[in-house]
Amino acid sequence: MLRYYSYYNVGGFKDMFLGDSTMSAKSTFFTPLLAVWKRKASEGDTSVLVKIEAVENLPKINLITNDSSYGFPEQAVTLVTHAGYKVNLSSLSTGECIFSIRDIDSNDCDESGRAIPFLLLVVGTTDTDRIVLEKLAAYTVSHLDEISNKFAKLFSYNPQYNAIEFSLQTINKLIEDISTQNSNSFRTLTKTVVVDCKKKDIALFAIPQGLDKAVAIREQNVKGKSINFVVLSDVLPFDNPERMERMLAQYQQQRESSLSKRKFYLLIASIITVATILCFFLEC
Amino acid sequence: MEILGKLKDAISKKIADVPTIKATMLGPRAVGKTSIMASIFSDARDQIAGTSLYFHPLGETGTTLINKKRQLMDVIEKKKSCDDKPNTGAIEASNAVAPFEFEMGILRREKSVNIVITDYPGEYLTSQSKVVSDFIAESHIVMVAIDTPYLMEEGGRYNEEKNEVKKVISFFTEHSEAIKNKMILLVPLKCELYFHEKRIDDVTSRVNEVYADLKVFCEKNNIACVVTPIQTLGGVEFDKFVDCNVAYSNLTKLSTYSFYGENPKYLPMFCVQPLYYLLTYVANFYEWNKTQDVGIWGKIKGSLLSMLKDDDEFLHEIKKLSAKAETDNFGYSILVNNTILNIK
Amino acid sequence: MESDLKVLMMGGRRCGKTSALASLFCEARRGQLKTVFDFNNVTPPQCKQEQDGRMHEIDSLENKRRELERAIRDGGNGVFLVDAGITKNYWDYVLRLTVPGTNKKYDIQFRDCAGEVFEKNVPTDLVDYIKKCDVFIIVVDTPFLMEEQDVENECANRYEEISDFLRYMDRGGKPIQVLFVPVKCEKWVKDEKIDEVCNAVEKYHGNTIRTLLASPNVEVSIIPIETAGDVIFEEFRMPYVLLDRADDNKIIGKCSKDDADDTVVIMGNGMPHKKKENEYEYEDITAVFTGTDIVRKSTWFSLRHKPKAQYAPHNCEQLVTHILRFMFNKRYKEFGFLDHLRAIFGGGVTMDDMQNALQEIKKLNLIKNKGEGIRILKSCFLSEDVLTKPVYQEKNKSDSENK
Repeated sequence: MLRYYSYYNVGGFKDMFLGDSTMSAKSTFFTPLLAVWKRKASEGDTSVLVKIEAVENLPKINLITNDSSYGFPEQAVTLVTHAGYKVNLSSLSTGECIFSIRDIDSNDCDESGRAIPFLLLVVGTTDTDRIVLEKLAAYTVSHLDEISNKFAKLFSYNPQYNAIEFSLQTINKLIEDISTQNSNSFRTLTKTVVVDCKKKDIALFAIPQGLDKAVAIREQNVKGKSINFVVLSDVLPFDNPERMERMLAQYQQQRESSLSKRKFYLLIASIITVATILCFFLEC
Repeated sequence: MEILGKLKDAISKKIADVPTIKATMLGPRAVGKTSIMASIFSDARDQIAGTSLYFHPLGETGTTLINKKRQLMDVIEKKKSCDDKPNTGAIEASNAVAPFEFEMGILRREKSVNIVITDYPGEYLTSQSKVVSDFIAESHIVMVAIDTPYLMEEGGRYNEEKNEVKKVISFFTEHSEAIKNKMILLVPLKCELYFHEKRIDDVTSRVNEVYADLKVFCEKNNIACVVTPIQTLGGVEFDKFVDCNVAYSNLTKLSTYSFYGENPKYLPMFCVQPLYYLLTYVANFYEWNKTQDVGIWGKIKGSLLSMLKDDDEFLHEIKKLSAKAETDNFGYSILVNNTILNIK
Repeated sequence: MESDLKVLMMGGRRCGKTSALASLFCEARRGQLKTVFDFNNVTPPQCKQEQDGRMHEIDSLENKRRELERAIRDGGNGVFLVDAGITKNYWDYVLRLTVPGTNKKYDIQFRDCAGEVFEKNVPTDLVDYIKKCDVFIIVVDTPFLMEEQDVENECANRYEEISDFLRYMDRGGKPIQVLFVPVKCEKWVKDEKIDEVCNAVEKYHGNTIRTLLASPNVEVSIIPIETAGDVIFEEFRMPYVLLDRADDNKIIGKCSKDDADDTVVIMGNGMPHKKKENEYEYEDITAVFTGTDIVRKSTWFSLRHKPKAQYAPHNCEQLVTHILRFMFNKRYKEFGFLDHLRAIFGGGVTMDDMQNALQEIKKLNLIKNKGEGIRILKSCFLSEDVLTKPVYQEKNKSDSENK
C-alpha cells in the first residue's frame, strides 16, 4: 500500500495525509470551512446546512497532528521540515520506504503572482512498493519538469465544494504507469545510476548544483548512512530534449577541450624527453 | 565502543534520574479531565509567573493543553454549547491514560524537577487495578475528581452512577499499602454555580458526608485527605439535568450548562490549589523523611529527596509557593490530617 | 562563520515578522545610523532550487520591502489589504556592522521563522538555536491585539506558544534581551493611543513578561514600530476570493463584500469591482486558523496622506539602537577588561568601538528610552556614565568598589 502525504499551503503550510492507494475514492478533499459552517449551524444559522450536506461525506484530506499521525513515519519528519535535497528515496528501520520531492511549484499563486511551493511524500510498506518507489525515483530525476507539472496538477481548487481536491486516481495511475514502463535506473553524463534500496540506506539523494554535500547531510541529519548522491545538473533530462542536447554538446566540448589539452601536454612531454635524450647523448 | 556504551548508560541513567514528583488523578469518565488539566496549567502559569520559579509543560503536554484552553475560551466567549455529551466509549478510552508532564525549577537555572500527573478513568479501577495501584505506589498524592452537580443536585440521586464513590473507596481499601502515608485530594469540579451562590461550604459538607467511609480509611492508614473545590471554566454554571437517552451510556442524566454574566469569559479559579497541595506535601514529606529510617520510601524517591537536600533554594521556593495553599476558606477543608502533611 | 549575536524573530503567522525585519535592515542601512557603523546585509545567498537543477538567488527581505512599497503606491483611493507573502520553515539573515574606515566587523544573525513553526511542538534544531540566542524579538499584530476577540487574538499572536518556546532560553545566566514589538500600529499612534497598545501587550503577554522580569540578567522592553508609515488599520472584514468560472476557476484576487450592493466587491487594492457574468465570490478557504473552526478575518488598511502616501517606516531604527546597546552591555558583562586582549587576537569590533558608537548614538539622540510607546520594563544595562567613560577605568573602579 502506498500512502500519500504533502506539506501544502492552504492558509499556511500544513502537514496533510492525502489518502492511500487502497482507497476507492477518486479524490480526497481538504475542507477547512466545514468546521466553520458546522459551528454556524450549531448557532442556528440554517443557510449553511446545504453546504454542510454537500461536503460532509466527502473523503477527506486529514491534517497530521500530535494526536493523529495517519501512519506518517516519525523518522521521516526531517524530510518535511528540512531542505538539502530535491528528490529523496530512503529506507527506514521500520522497513518502510519513502519517496519525497520538495519545492514543486503548485498551480496556486499568492497575491504577488508567485507560485506557492509544496512537498509530496509517498510511503511504501511492502517489497513491491519498494520496487515501485525505486522506479518512481529514477523516473522523477530524469523527468523532473514533467513529473513536477503532473504532481502540481494533482491538487486543484474545487469551487463546487469550496475545497482543495487531491486526485488519488491520477496519482495511482501515474505511479502504476511509471512502474510498469520504466526501470529503476537513470543516466547521468558519465554513467548509469541504479536506484536500489537494498544497497544504500538512502537509495537516491538528488541535490541541486551548487549545494555542498556536507550541508545536505547536515540538513537532513543523515551522517553515517550509506548514500547514493546525485547532482541534478548531471542527470540527463529525458523530458527536455533541448536541454539534454545542450548538456551533451557542452559535455562533448569539455571532453574535446580536455582531449586537446591532453594532446598538447603529451607533445610538450615528448619534446622534453627527446631533448633530454639528445642532451644525454651530446654529453656522452 | 565499551566507553561509548558506558557513556550511553550513564546518560540514560541521568535522564531516568530526573527528580520526579508524581500524582495520580482518578475520576469519572467524561468529566473533562483534559479541561481540568488545561485549567490547572493555565491558572498555575498565571500564579507562578513573577515568582522565582518557572512551570512549563513538557513534550506534547504543551500543545494539547494550549489547544484545549483555546477551545474552552472559544466555547465560552462565543457562547457555544458546552453541555455534557453521552460517552462514545472506545475512542476516549484508548487515549485516556495520557500522562501530563511539566517541569518546575528556578528561573534561568538548569536543574529542575519533573511533575507527572497521570489520569485514569473510573473503569480502570476494576479492569486495570494493578496498573493504577502501581502508579499510586510511585505517586506522592492522589487526586479524585468529583463532578459536583451530580454530587449536589436532586439530592445527589445521580451521584453514585457518575462519581462511583463506593468503587473508589473500595479500591483504596483493597490497595491500602500503595496509598499509606500519602495524601488524597478530593477535587469537586465545575463548582461555579455554588461559588456564585455562596454555597461552596455546602459542597464541602456534602463531600464530608458522602466520603465519610474514606475519612475513616484515611485515619487508619495515616493518609491526609483534603477537599479542594475548583472553578474549571469560570464563565458557565450548571443549569439542569436532562435525560440521557443513549443506549450505550450507563448514565440516567446529563448535565447542561448556562453562561454566567453578560460577557462570559474563560476564567478558571483556584485551579492552582491542587498543585500547591502537591508541593506542600512534597516539602513536608521531605522534612518528615529526615526523621525516618530510609526504607522503601527513600529508595523510591531518592533522586527527588536528594535534590531537595542539596538545593536549599529550590526547597525554600516551593515552601514559599506552597504557603499559598488555602486551608480554611472558599470551601477548602482538611478532612484528615496526617503526620506528614501536618497542617495546623 | 559563527555570528557574534543571535536574534530570533517570533510571532504568529502573518503577524508581520518579515516586514519588521525588512524595515529593520532598511533603516539600519540608511539614515543617521550610517555615521555610527557601516551596516551591510551579508546574508549568504538564499537559494531556491529550480527545476533545471540550478540554484537561484533570492532576497526575500528585499522582496518584502518592495511588496510593502508597491502596496502603498498602488493603494488607490480606498481601503486596501496588505495580505501577501509566503514563508517557509526559517530563513537566516546576517547584518554586518563594520567600524567605518576599518575592517573590524561584528555579525548579527537574525532567524526569521515561518509562523507555522509556532503552531506545533518546538522543532529540535530551533530548540538549539533558542538555547544559544541572545535577543528575542516578539512581534505582535496590533489590529488583532486591539480590535479582535480574545480567541482570535490568541490564534493570531500565539501568546501561549511563544511563552512555551521561551522556556528553552539559555539557563546559564548570560545576558538576554527580549523586545516586544507591536507592529501595524500606525492607527493607534495617530489616535494617540499607543500607550493602550503597550498596556495590552503587557496584559496578553503578561505571563511571559512577569516571568522575564523575575529572571536575572534579562532586559525587557516594548518598542512599537511602524513598518510602513502611512498605512492605517481600518477594519476587519470577512474574507472572500473572487473567481472567474469561465477561466478554469482562476482566482482573480482577494476581496470583501460591498454591504450596499451585492453586484460589487471591493478588491484587495481598495477599488470597487463590478462583478462580470462569470465572476463569483467565495468564502476564502485559506482564512481559517489551523485546526480550529475560527475564521481569520482579513485586515484592511487605508492610506494616511492619500494620494501621496509614502513608504515611511518609523522607529524601526530603535530596534537596531536598542540591540546595539544590549550588545555593548553583554560584551562588558561577559568579557570586561579582557575584551582588549580578545580584540588584539580576534580583530573584531572592540568594546571601545561599541562605546564610541553608543556615545555617537546618544549625541545624535538616536536612542529613545521612552515616549511613542517605548517602554523599558527592565534594563540590564549600565549607567549612563559607563557609556561616556573609558571602559577599563570603569571596570577597575567597580572592581575596587567591590573589594
